[in-house]
Amino acid sequence: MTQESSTALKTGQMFINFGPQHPSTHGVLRIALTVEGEVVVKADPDVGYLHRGIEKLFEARNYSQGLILTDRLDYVSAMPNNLAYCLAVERLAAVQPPLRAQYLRVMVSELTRIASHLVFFGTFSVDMGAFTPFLYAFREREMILDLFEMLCGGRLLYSYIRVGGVSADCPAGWEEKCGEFITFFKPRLKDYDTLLSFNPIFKDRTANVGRISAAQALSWGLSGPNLRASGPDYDVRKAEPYCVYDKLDFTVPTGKTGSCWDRYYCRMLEMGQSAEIVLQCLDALAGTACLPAGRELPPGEIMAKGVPKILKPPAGQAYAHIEASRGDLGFYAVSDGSPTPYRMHVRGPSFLNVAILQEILAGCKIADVVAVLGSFDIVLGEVDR
Amino acid sequence: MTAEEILTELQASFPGLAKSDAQVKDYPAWTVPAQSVRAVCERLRSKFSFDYLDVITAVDWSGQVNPKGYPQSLGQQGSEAAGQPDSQTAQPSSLIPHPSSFPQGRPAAQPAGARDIFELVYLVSALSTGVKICLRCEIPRKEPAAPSLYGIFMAADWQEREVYDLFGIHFEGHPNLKRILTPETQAGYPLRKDYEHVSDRYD
Amino acid sequence: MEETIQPKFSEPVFNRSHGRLLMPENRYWPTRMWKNPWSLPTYRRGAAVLAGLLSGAAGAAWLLGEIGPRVAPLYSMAEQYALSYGIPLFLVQTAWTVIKAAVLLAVPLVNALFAVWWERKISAHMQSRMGPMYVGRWHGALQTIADGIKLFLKEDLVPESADKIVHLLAPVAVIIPAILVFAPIPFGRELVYADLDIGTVYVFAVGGVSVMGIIMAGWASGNKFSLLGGLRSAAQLVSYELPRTFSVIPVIMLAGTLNLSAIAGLQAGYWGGVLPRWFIFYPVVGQVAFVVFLIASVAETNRIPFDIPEAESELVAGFNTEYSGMKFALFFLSEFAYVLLSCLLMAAFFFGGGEPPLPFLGFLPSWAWFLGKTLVLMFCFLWFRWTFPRFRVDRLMDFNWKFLLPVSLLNIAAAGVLIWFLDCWAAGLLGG
Repeated sequence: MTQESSTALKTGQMFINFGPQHPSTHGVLRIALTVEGEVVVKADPDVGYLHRGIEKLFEARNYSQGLILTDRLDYVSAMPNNLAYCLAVERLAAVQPPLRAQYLRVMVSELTRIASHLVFFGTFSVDMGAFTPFLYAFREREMILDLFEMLCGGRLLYSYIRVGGVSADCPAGWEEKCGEFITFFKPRLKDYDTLLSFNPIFKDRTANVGRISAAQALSWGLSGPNLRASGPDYDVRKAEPYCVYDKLDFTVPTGKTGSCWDRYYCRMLEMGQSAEIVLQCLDALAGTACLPAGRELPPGEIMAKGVPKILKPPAGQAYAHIEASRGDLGFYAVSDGSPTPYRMHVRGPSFLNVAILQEILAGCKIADVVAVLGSFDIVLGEVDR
Repeated sequence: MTAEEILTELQASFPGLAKSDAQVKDYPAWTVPAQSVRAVCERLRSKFSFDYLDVITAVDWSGQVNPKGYPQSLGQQGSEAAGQPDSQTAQPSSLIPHPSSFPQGRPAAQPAGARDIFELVYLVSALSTGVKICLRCEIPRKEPAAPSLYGIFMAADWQEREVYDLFGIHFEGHPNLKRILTPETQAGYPLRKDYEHVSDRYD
Repeated sequence: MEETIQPKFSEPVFNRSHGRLLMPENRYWPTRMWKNPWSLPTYRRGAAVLAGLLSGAAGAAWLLGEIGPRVAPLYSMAEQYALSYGIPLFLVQTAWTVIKAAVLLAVPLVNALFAVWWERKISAHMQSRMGPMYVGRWHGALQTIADGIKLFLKEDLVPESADKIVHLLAPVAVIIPAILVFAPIPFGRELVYADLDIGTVYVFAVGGVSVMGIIMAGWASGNKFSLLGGLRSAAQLVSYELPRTFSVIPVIMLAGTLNLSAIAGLQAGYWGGVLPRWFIFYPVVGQVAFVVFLIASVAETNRIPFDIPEAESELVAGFNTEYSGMKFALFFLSEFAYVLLSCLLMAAFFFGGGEPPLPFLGFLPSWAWFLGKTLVLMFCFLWFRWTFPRFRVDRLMDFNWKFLLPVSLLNIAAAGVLIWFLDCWAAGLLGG
């Protein structure tokens, strides 16, 4: 605040820098707000504070080194980033990973989706002023991180999914531990609903706030739960099944009004669906363990044969996209036959989700800015890249 | 309606439209002349219910840079190399080279397959029918410009700003074309393949 | 002293063939506890310790007995002592007042020491954590004192753009009413600093002054978020003052007095020997008045779900964004003082003050009952805080003006009807 405005009180519009250091911008997003009293007149999101030039860095690393960069995109859910990158590179190099690796990939992606949506649930409730759900969410997320630590040693940035497969098979007893987690986790979703989802104060603050029509959402290129909350049931897992999603049985929850509450509840329902998918994958992995004759998914067969250490895909282009925790994550890879990618473009879902803020924030209250921003569940690592 | 049928129907009104030889794997790819990109997209959206713009990005086809960041032409093109500060005598003021000091056209000794163009890549899809199309559009590297899709797909808003920021391609008709990821004071366009690496104290 | 130190956690087991962590059995997963918490020995032990603490406190209170009736003899003893030694009487009176004032001043301080610790422990256990565990050996008992010392030693930062004098005065303007307001509050039978006949009016009047300090803080900080917080706070406190006061009017009508200890004392006795004659048990009127008073009190103390003046996610920290060290501690102190005040008022107005809930429990002194009820009500405050999300500022106003205020006004009318009905009933009984 300038000296001038502190000494002379005027009526009129006030300019507020919402961020980059603010408790509820979830990182270093800055929104330049023009407010009149408590009502927002104009909102201008400003990104780039976390820009690390990852797309440029890809061009100076070979394909296996580039994998660790993908972890740093959406650091809250790193597994799907690995997966999208590997799918793009595998399309370039025409590598087919074994079936067991594909099941493992789907399973860790869905576990990551649960972990990521739990972070959303926690931070969104903190934005809404309820602190307790945050710690409940982190209690559950901690167990998923433990599972990942047992699986690959990393707790946040995994680099578990590799080009041609995954880095390790699940250790002994991991499947039981994972099943134990799912049986623990599913009743917790009901707890969350009683604690927060249907709380009148919470519904009052989020339903009918920040509404996005289906046409608006499509035009702005929203994806993931943010798009589905507005109505369109576009899910890459269903539209273009990758890995083994076509063999799994799950539904895609959609909302109706596209309000903050719909976006929130879509994610809550998705967590339940993800838990079902994990159970199905566990069944598939275990079913072969007791059927040694069938050997459909033999343990240990997790890497495609003949993938060289330094991959040199033939010249060409490939685009692979997946349904990551925050939406449609795509990698556009261009190879010129050398060991480093000629160009690697990342379509970060959060990047497009932030863009719509400039349209829907005008007319909201300051308190609604927090609700709308929180309901988009953005990760600035992916926005700024 | 499959992508081929749409293509034949569109080719009647846009003669420049053709199937691309360089396929993006699993995606039908078309080449579009730069000036008709907006019209094609408008037609796709209004007539063929293409309602979702996945990606706008660009590729600089002027050849692979040296992994260290030096352009391959530097050793061969004495006149251009002379314009660049020597790595030992680099002054702080010249740490960030001005874009005008970049070599604009590529020299004759280009790597195989290198062309003096930017290629814009658009991925559009019709969610109702599941048809996806990759539009490719080549523009010259000298004063690169293309029509903006702002207004047809709002998703183009920030993606075009990003391409402008990283490649310096101007999108005509974009109401708010300014840098988005890099700071306003940034000189040069980082994803161009002729980006000069200037030695600094970290080398 | 060749003693091998056992590691607190066993070494992680590595899978040598893969170089990864195997099942870390030492890592705590709540899956076992969730099936049946009582099967865990720690759970049972904790319950036993709690029960022991409660009965121990009750026993100590029983041993101490009533304090209030012993105070007046003490004073007359001092007076006689002074007379016999020729000390002027006004000196004794002054000393007596100073002692009483010191005790009163200690109320918010001791309350903050205890309430902060209690809040941290309760919130922690609601959120499946432990809370403070180290300072003071036993469950972080001295954590608040350590925090107080830390706040004392912190640098006092004043922003460049702040109005320095107002910035300095704001915490003072908040804390002084918060201490003064305790003067007419009874803490038990005959245990009151100033037994004012207009105690109820005094409490609401003095308590309302604190909002001045909050506005001063918001304005003087020279920060937009503080300013918004201060404005929100002013609007909220002024609005909720109305239903809060109106909800007490039925109690005053039934009691026929404004004196707080008299109101508490009037609730002695039992209907049918079982149901205490507390005002909350008066049909409909009592319950409605209590609920309105409770909601308005939570709003008055700026706590979740009504904490919009300092809404962390929107306004960073609202009016106390720019305060640090002791100045911040004063805001903190006054917040907890007002929580205690609201709970004391509720105990006095609706829960019979120091009267035991059942006749045979009369062996415990009145101050113990008063304190116990206050603590239970304070637990409710904490419970709300750690359960609910936050209101939005316009909804908050709607809720007050469109719901709480009409309800409290209607309740006054209902109280009139109830009194008329009770009078008729009493007359009928007399006539019969």
